[in-house]
Amino acid sequence: MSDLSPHSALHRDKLPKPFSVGLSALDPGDWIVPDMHLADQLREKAEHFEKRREAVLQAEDATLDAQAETLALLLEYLPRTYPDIYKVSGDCVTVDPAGLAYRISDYAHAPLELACRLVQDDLVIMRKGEDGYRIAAAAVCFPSTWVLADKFSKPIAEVHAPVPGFGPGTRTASLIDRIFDNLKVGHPAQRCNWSIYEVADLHHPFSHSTHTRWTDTSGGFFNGTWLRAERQTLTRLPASGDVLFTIQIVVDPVSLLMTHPDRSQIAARLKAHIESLDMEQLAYKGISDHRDAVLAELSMLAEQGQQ
Amino acid sequence: MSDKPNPKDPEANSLSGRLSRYAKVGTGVGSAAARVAAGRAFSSGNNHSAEAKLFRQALGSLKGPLMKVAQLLATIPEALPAEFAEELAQLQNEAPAMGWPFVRRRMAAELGADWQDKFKSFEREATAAASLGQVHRAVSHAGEALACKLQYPDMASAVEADLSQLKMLFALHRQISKAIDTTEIAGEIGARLREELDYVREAAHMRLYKAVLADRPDIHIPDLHEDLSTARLITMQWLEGRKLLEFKDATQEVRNLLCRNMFDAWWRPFTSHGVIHGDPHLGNYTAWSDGSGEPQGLNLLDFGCVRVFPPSFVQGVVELYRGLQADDRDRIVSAYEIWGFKGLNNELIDILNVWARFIYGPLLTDKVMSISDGSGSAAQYGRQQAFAVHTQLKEKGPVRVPREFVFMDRAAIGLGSVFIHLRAEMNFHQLFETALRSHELRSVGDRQAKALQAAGVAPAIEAV
Repeated sequence: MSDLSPHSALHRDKLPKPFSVGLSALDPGDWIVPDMHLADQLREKAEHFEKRREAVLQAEDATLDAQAETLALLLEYLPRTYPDIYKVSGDCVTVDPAGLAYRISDYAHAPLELACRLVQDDLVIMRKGEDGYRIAAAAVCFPSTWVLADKFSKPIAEVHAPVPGFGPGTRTASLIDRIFDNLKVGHPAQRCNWSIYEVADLHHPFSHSTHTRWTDTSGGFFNGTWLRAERQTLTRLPASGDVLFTIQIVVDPVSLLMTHPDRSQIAARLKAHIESLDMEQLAYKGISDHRDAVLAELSMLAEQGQQ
Repeated sequence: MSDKPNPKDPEANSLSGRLSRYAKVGTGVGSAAARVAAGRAFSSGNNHSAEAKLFRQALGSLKGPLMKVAQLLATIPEALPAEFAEELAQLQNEAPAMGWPFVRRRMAAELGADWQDKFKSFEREATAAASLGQVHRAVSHAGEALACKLQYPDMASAVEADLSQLKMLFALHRQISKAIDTTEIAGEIGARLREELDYVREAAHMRLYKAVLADRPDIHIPDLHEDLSTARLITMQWLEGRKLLEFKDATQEVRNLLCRNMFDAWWRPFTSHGVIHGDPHLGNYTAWSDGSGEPQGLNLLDFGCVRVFPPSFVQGVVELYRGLQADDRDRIVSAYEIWGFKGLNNELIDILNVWARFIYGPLLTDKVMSISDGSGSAAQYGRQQAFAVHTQLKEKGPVRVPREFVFMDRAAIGLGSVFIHLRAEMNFHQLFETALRSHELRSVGDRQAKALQAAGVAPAIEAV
């Protein structure tokens, strides 16, 4: 089943062209898809909520209903779709493979926190205001180079300000606004995104560090770098009318490519994507200093498929 | 469901062909994952073979070292029901070997920029691709044929990444089946994979086996070239040989010769030094021959899974053998205690006895015989029994199953299946008695200590 690798960051669907919106329709039955990292990620989330709650959870007071709506949707969807993982009984919800059990009423003041503790995905409630959609409530344990406190309550174009071509006034920003406006109840959407990191940390609010290891002769790019892939979904919440944005992260060592049967195709895909980036985009992805070295390494793998 | 492309269907081999086929498989990225993650793979009643297919799909989708994990799982008879092991044995979807620019760079990282000067010649194409590395042929300046086993970079990260996924797969499995201790098996597989990455340890094991089998000119262990070896590169003598399966239709005499060698190569290090090869399968051996072309003996090729046991355990194995021979229940029970079983009761002892008689059966029978468990299949040999006994021990326990037991039964099954493959007909009892007579049992401890020190073997990594 060589192309059915949904658990891996190397899966083709998780490596789209960077800096493209690339939104597609999502079957509501596949809204949340637990993978093999479920137990590890949920345990890590619980730790973040205990140790740095304010850094991972922010919510406007008026979003309590939307948070409760989000939780209610999950408490209905999860046990129905994954009965061997999730069980809801009275006031109790359990995630058996992770050995977790929560009392629902304990989270009446922060339903989004419980929702976020149940799924690998981070959850963001976007609410429309005068300046378009803004982050009105968010439970984000695994940020990819952004700090929730900096973005909270800010409109989406401003949130995207550091992303080349996505900031206020850009065509993409207005496209995203339109997508949000046109999102219909019962017709969710999804997209994927990826980056190369030097650490495997899921909780990564910091900007990219200098990738010193990439040119290290002991294995170069493949030694100690990580492919971080995101699966994002957008769902219109029927009662509140808000948009629920979810982000699921998978981080795999780039060295997995070595042993991947389809490595030449994957390397060719990554190579083409990186080649298409301009200086600003390369800088945002943290690979401007090592672009040529990375491309040389990927070429080594990509060319093998053509022999 | 086969992963092999159909040679008659060129479209099946092309990327677009594969993509379009897979696109038909499910509704999206998550469909297979969701089905497996939902535990549906394990909750379809008693339909083990359907479950097994889904399990393979899940593992097969995890890629890379996890392919190795799947293969390792298949070598652990108690890990999974036989149907599952059979499915996993089909997973051969490994990446092709890396090309020359990559190899040149990796070799430079291991042996320095002038690494090519250290060989008379070095073949650019790999002779074998492995899941964690690849093997190249080379020639030393002295003209000796060499095998260079080169590990891919950062395999430790790849292994750890995949192990966490395996644990999750097991966590889901455990919700349905309480039969086996999957935590222990995941731990064991983790330890095995980490060991396979440790070439320093493997090199030490090679030295150990060279010393332990020094009195057996028919069993060849490659010479290690320390100056051309590192933590991620092992350079050893190239041993010319033919695969054992090539002798499937050879004369009985030839097949018996190879199997006698296998028996000795496995049991002699145990009875003399308390060490075993933990994974005796066909791929780890070849047959060497002189000019006549007839096989003369065995080459041992892989030392990634060598186990060192406490000397007292050797005594326990022999005690169990003697107890079974005399049908002396007290002696048998005391042997189990030496093995490390704790919390035994009569019911558990009966379960263990069924197993011990299965494993020891050929050793207890003083006549020429072939190995068979009735299934007739080398791949299946012992699996039903192993899984059944581990399940029953779990049910009737709690009982602590010592790791020694796990390693011994696994190796016995591996060895037995080789004998079935080659249709050996031998007096295993006499072979075992000869092995026991060849060394004084009481001095195993002294011999072991000296040999480990001389070879530089560190204590074994604990599996859990």
